Amino acid sequence: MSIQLETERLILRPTAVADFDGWAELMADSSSRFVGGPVSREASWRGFMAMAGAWAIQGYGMFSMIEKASGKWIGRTGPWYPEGWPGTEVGWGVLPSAAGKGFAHEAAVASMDWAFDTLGWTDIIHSIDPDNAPSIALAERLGSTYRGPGKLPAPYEHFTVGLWGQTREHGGRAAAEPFASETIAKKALAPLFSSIKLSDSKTTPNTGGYPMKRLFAAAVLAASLSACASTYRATPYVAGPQPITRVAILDDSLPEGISAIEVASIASNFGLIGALINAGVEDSREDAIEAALATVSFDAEADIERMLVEAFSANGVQAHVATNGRRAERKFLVNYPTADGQVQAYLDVVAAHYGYTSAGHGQPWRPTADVMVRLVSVPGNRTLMENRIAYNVMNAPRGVITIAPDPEFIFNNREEMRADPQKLANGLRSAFREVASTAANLMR
Amino acid sequence: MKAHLLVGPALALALNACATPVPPAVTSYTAVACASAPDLARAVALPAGKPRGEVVRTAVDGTTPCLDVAGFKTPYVVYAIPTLANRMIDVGGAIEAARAFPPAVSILGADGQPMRTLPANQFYHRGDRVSVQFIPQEGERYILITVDPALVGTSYSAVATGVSVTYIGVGINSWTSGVDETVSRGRSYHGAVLATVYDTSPEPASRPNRRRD
Repeated sequence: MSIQLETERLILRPTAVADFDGWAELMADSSSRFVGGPVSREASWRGFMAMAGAWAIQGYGMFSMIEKASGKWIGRTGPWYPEGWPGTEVGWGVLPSAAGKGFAHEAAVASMDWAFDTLGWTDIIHSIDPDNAPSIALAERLGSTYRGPGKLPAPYEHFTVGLWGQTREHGGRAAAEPFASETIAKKALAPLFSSIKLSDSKTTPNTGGYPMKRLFAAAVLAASLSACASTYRATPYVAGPQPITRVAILDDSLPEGISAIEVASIASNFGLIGALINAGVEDSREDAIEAALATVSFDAEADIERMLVEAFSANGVQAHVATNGRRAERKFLVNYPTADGQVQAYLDVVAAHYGYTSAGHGQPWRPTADVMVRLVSVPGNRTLMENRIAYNVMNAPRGVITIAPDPEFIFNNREEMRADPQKLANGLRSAFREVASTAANLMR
Repeated sequence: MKAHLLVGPALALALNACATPVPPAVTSYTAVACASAPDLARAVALPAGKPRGEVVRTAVDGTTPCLDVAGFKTPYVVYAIPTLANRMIDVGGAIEAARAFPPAVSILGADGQPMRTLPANQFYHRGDRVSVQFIPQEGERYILITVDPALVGTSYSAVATGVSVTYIGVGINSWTSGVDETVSRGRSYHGAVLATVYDTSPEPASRPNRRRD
């Protein structure tokens, strides 16, 4: 699995042999005095190889910045943590011809996201010469603050540097939007299929025989592998003076089709080609599961709604399902029904997906459901509670309620699923029951 | 708190644990001189919080002060709640490779007297912890975290899934594969307490240039 980041104007990828001319040019320029230069081409080779070695041995290093428009190497930006370094750094250096155009900022933002989200770093520093005003300005623009003077290890022990930095908690999204990885996936796919509108529909539109839903799911998976460090901020319920005893559950909670996702499949190691292969395989697998479920009495939407009603009832809250029509997207509603005087709150329930998932090739299949719930006051439409409940969802963002699967419902392969459709349905019901129980419990 | 609830990413902890010593669950407690009330002077001040959360981790070990609650001895941690509006706090016990700290949480007033106790059925697994979330109310000044006497010393097992990335030695290529296994943990007197303060103000101040993808 190759590592490559893409920004509006740049490709960021690990060091490659072809980058050396640009690297040597940078290190020969007087502006490199802040980063160990100027040095001869021969001397710069050592630093170049050290960077390539960092990628090869430890799996990260500074990215080469490749300008999309020209295809040229214009600098290096990214994580750097040599022995004895004062912290986990994201540094930068660009050719004079590329300076002042915002490239370093663009690359640093992407690199810092990657370091926080993929490397799992919790803190990032920038060691900057006090005379390097452009870099200090960039650090500030990135949201880093001055921490004081720093000391670098040999052979840089005589350098004077100030340390700028920020923690993961300081930087980053205000709060991850619901199902952020799906948003990532949509954006990742958008440039590839810009003329095609993403849809939940299983049959239309499609791309060359691969339904968009399948491609979307594949991209969701790809995105989810790097989304583990994002954060979800819930709204806990605060009981008011008037206890809530009557709730309407707004329907169309589940997507139209079931999902059957093998997270770390063999194909997932082969980029977009692998995603396309996955899309086809998942399509076939989902069809098989749906065909099996069609042989037993199973209505996913009706089941989860019934379980929500039962869960609320068990907590002394009268609940009924309010028909709401088809959701255009797997998101909370924008407008809520007009108050009818019968209920005190609406429970908006929306799932990104439900179905079966496997951690990877050769691993068992277990039920999964990823559900958002929002309790809204009636009248007033004020959010009283909001949470995300992830039943057997890998890499759920921090702050999401995570529920491990019931070990009873396990299938080793597609044939086992086909052979026992009742167990297949019961596994999903088990997931729905846990989600419903949790949702009702959250407003106690 | 249900026994089969589990943090998803916790498998990573278990996998990492193969290479490093795994702190074991401490299922009995031998402290002798325990106070009858928490020492508020030792309260750890929680930070002001950030929109995506600001985390405080406090280790609980043999040096942690203890409380004697009606004959039950327990280590305890006290956090001082930031006196700011629009804050949400997530507090709980860390889930580690072989153990988890089973939290019991009370909210205290300025005088150290309990104002409310957060019920056990409101604790959920959330990523790296078993925690409860709440919005501080008028007059609430401290959070007291002890072990839950009903749970400490017990153990639980749960299915954990994750991915394993293997570097395969050529260039930058790596190979991702899935892992699915049952992990057992002991609910331990020692471990760590985690608190995250979220700034829920309508217009949060976050790094404005972070990519919004």
